[in-house]
Amino acid sequence: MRHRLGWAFVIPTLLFLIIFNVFPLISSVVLGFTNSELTGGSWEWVGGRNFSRVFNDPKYAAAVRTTVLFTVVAVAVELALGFILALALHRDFRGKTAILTLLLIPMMLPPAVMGIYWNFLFDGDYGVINQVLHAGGLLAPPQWRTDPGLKLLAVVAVDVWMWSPFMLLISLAGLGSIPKHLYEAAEIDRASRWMVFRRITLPLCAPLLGLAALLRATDALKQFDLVMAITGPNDASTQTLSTLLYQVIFSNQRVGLGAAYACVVLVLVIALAIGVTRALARMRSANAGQAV
Amino acid sequence: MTFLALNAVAKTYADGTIAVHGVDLAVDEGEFVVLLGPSGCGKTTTLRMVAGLERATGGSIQLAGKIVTDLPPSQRDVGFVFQFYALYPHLTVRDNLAFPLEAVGVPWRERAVRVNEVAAAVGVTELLSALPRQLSGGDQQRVSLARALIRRPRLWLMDEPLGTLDAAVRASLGAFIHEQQRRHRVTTLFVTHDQEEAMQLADRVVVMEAGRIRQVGTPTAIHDAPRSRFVAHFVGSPGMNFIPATRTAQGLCLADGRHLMIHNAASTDVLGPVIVGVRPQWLQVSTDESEKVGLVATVVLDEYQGDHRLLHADAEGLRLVARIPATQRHALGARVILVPHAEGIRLFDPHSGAAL
Repeated sequence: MRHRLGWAFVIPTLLFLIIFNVFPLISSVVLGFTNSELTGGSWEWVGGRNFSRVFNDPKYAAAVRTTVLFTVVAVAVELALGFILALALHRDFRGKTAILTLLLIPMMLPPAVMGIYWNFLFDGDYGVINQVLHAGGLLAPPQWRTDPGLKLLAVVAVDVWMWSPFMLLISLAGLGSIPKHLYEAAEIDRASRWMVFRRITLPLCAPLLGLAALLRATDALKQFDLVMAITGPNDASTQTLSTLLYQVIFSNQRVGLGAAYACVVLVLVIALAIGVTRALARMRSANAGQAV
Repeated sequence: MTFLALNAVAKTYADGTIAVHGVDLAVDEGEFVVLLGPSGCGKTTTLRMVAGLERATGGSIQLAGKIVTDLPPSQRDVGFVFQFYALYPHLTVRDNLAFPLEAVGVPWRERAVRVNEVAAAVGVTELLSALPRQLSGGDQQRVSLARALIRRPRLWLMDEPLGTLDAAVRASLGAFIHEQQRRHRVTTLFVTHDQEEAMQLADRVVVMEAGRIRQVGTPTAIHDAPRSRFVAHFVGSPGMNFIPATRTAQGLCLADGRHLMIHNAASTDVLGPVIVGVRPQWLQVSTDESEKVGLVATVVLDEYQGDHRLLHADAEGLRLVARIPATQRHALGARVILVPHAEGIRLFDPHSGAAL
């Protein structure tokens, strides 16, 4: 009886998961072995042909490189910037709340809107950034949106602008959780400010910062909206895995091939997710009983 | 020789709260001085000012002949033991102990030797590889003591180090601190709200109340010759009993006409109302109705303490406690006469509370 009642509570969730998670997952793997098109119509089994195409496609390799480069650079800069800002803001002063609120605004805005908005700022001729650079004496300001070497940098810059406040917030929480008496003990122990930072502040913040970086990394690996808004999906210098998928499925209408691409991405993301879960578990065991 | 001198040291917080009103204290080299008082009396603030963790807003502090009032803790050569241990949670016991040595640049070879030395001295050798959270409270405080000891500072400051420990650990660690202090002859300033702890450890006790020092003296002096009602009540377990009376030429007279004591007043005595103080151990409990001297009271509570009893009695609203032999029994509600021993009587001014 009790078991039956238990099932009654679990079944709605289970159904929901099967319909919206498990079924699409299986169907997309199945699709990967067909030559289905977006417009529908007849399709055939093509075996592993799609998958062998994925691994031989230079655009795929380039998209992996771009995605990883974007993720590593953006997350590293956000982490560093957020932590440095947190060190500066971790004390009481007038207007602290106002400053924090202002800093958090970019995080709340839709990325697509942010991308379009930044396009105006980045514009080579009338954009504010170049106007300022020009007024500052730079005769040939960089062409942010057309120079292949700068386009990815522009996307990274907007991402940093949006997400550094998140890192700031997490860092502030980390700094705030370090008991004040540890700093007093270190003062008594004659530790220099650098030693206090290196031996107390940093190691005690590290687990939380690592977690934040992993969370941001899983998100950054899916980078889509900013690239779409700033350069469009099919730009060789900014094409990420997500925009490549979009290009294959919606512009080229090759659903079967796209599904194969997606499967490979899925494996990558699962690998990272396992990493996050393990790190979380390790952090929890490391922090157990650290309350005093 | 005075090693630590506090000169009118005061602390007023930014919000205007006055924590310490101007404290004068001289501590000799090698002396164990205990700051004793109820919570909020300014004892911890005073200790933290000596450490440099809190800035004095008035007066000066002199340590080993040098004015240190405005120096940071790192330039004062003190070791500090915190109430909540304050061990570095992510470092092993070994690294915790080595931290003060690392901070002043002791080479690692010597660090290892000294860590082993001090760990052996406080008995935590087998815990060196453990993290603080794996240790019991008593062991954590041992490590904390060792950390305060390892740099061989000239002044030990302890902020209620036994406050959070359970009774058995408390007693053994208290004895341990005492022994270490005697062996190393380190000048020590120790804060507690526990008067028994103060009596047990101190060379001299400093009783504080409301940001002021009320009395400084040896444990015996504080206990036997309290200079005010506050000290008399705060020290001793339980504290002193107080009985309002009138001093006449014949002795101490109670409101109901009975006498608390019969004697001839000295010519210098001022006659008039006084507060009579008697410690529980100086009150005898008698059931002899013919007793001429003493306070008539009703038994309200009998607390068995193993080797003695604490008998609580009510005398027309006045609550008194007598310490009596464990074998002596009195029924609740019984009428008794509480007779003070002449030797145990102290007199206080009814208005100022000062000893007469």
